[in-house]
Amino acid sequence: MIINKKIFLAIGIENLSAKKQEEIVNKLENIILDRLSIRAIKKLSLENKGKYFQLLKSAKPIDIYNFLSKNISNFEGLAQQIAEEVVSDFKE
Amino acid sequence: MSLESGFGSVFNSKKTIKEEPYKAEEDKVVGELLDLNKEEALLEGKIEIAEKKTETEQESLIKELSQKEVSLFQETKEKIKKGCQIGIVSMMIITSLLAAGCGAEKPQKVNHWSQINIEEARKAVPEDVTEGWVQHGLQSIGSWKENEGSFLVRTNKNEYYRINEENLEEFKERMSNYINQYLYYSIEIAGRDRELTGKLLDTRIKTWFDEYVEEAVDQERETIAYGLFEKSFSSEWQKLKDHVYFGVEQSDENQEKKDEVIQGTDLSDLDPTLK
Repeated sequence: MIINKKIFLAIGIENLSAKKQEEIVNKLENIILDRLSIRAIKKLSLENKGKYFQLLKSAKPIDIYNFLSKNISNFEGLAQQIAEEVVSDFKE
Repeated sequence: MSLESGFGSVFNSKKTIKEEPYKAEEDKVVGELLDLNKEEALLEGKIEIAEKKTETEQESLIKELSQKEVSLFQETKEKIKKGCQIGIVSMMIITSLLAAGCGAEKPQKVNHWSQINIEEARKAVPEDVTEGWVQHGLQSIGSWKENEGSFLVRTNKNEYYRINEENLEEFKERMSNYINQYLYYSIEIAGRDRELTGKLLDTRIKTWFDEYVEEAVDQERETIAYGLFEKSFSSEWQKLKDHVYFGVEQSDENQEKKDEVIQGTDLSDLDPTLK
């Protein structure tokens, strides 16, 4: 789990059982990563999209990260934007 | 009043007195549990909505892809997610949540507590490893100083750049801040998996120099190296190499290259990283 206990306060799940907290945080992370996987493809140029699908066959996760980070302008910003969006929806 | 009913009423009244506080406590607990269940149901509902939104996005993407691409995407989805999760995404989730107002820290205190976290990160990652990263970053410059006081730089991809001394100092400072920031953002991962953190940082430091310098020069993007480097050419590099190693005098732009070899060249101008 990559989100620490301080985060539970922010998203208002501090009163739940530890098991439930972990379950919710895992689901949130999963949603963030799903959306990032989808939007990353949409952000790639046509040429890079082709290269990306070629790479997927044999790549390790670190290769995928390196490719996306290199070929998407501000990949980190995209990740941040999605994370904020998901958390903000959850807090509403 | 019979004895039985008399005792009965006494027992009953005692029972009521004993049970009242217990009942109130029980009602309170039941109430809290109901509230908690409602809260959990609400949160589950929110997650379900978010998951449906994601599914809709995925359906829209699938329409844009070929059949082959769709099946590749589906087959490797977990691997892609792991790739996305590595390093940067984890840090961004934490950062965005912090920015969204979690914890006691307010934005104006960022400098203070980020410094503390950097120190924690440094403790988590062995000192010699972080020193190695800094050194690697500096060695990536792989330059030597020209007479005019500027440096020629060759990246790992055989691209050439020029930087003056003042800009080089500025660049080193930006790089140092970058490493510190990266360490800070990696604190969560560092706390859990020191080996993974080391690998991630190592990869990052080894590749970022090329990416940042080239992008800064070619695309004028806002990067660490932005505005500090000028594009140079392999011929300049070769000329300088000839001068340093073989003493061939450097010709200026309008002069023909001289082949005269000067004996006993002073190598003190060589960048220490090349010795």
